[in-house]
Amino acid sequence: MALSSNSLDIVLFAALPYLVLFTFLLVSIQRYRAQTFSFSSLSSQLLENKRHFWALVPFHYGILVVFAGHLVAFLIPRSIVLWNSQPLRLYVLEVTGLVFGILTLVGLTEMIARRFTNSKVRKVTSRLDALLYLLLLTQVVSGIALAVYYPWGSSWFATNLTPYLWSLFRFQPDLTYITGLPILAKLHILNAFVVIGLFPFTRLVHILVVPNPYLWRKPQVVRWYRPAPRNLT
Amino acid sequence: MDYFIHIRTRIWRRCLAGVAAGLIVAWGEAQEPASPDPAPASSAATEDPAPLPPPSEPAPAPAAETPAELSDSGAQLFMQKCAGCHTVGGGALTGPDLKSTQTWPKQNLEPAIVRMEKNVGKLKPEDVQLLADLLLAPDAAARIAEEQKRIAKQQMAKLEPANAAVGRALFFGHKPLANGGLSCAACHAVNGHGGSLAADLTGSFAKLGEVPLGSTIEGVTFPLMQAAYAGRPITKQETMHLVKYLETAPAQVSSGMSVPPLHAAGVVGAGLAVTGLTRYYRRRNRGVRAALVQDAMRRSRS
Repeated sequence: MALSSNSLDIVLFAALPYLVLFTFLLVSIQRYRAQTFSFSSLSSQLLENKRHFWALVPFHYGILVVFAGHLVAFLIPRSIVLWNSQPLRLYVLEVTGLVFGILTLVGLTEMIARRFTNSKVRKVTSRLDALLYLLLLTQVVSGIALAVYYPWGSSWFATNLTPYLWSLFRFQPDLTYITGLPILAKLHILNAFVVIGLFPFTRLVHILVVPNPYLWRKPQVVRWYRPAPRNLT
Repeated sequence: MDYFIHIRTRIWRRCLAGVAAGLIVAWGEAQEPASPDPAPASSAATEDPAPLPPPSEPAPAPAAETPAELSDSGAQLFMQKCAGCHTVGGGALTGPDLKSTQTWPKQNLEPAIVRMEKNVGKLKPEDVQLLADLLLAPDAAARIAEEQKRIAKQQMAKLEPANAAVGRALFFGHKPLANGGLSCAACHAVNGHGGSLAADLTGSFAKLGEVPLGSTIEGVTFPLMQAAYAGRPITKQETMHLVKYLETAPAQVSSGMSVPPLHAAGVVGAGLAVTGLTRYYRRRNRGVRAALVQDAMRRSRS
């Protein structure tokens, strides 16, 4: 039994990551070359705008902060451990993560509800979209559950997950860091790999072409067609 | 202008005061190591034959306590420079067992030691001599063992008595671990406070007993823990404090924040974020037409 679970770990956490990364890179590049204009979120904003806004905004604020947190713990784990060495700072970090995790869930739930209850939007929803929503929901719910049931994840991510992820990038996968993790944490990691593998086939590709220059381009002059407020004239 | 000169003289005065203070500190530091130094220096000065006779001296040394024990500078040097990778008769570590070098001619052994400078830094000629003499001595292993014992005794003497309050501070991260390891509460809980990734340590002292608990902490026996503390071991002193804390924990009220209030804070925080967004964007999503219609309605009413 131990052997079989161990070999399952090897398949899921040492082989699968390379399979999904390979797929991610290859298909993304190929899709960009062959169908450049399919690199889009295929937004349904024109079909329905109100619920779209209230779903998309919390989701994106949430996911960006949560993703940034994971990235920081991956890039500078020692700084996270040092930050967490003071309990108050640890609590601040954990609560912040939880707040933005819940914000992501709120947005995602509304996104899913809108997509499947609004008839116009449902018409442009594919099976792959449904699968993607299911995977994203699993990812967000397992992440929040980890924060709730296995607290101080910001600390143990830095000491156990980061070295594991780096070992993957060094092409020397070291499973000793994660084999003892609870099943919920393994589900979170595994589901992330599946999302990365599916990434280039879905509307998630819009992440790769996010219009960053919007952040630093010069402001544009917008002229309203309605009369200017009286106090300006 | 006067003010400028005034500032400059103040700066000069401060610089002079700083230099003076630096000199005093440097002098103080120079004095400190001078006290343990004389022993090795004097034995180094006695040249070749001297380190060979000492082997007979360390034997009575334990009775004579510290001063005589300090005299085996060869073994001391071995412990500082070589013992990280080599043993004498204790088997290979990163480097080979050096027992076989006892049969080497001294003129071959010394260059071999000098070649190790790439790993241990510059060695003085007298250091090379001392090490060569030690490795050629028939009782090298015994001398090194004696030195190890002396170091262990010295370390034990330096350790503070176990303190449950310090242990609790280490456990919950109020006091960081010396080598930068995670505080225990990141994964373990005591009396309902702390993480739940790993075993709850409430009552672990009663279950395991002092020595096994201590060796589990210091030896880091579990795979997840081994990964987390790789290169950042928990020290003997810290282990002693932690064991003491775990021994007394059931009787104490721990100071770590329990988790549920943080969950509530998370939910409240998310609620506030949603409310904030709603308020901030409440006019945003009306659309141009809605505003025009509203305007027209207002105008037609007035």
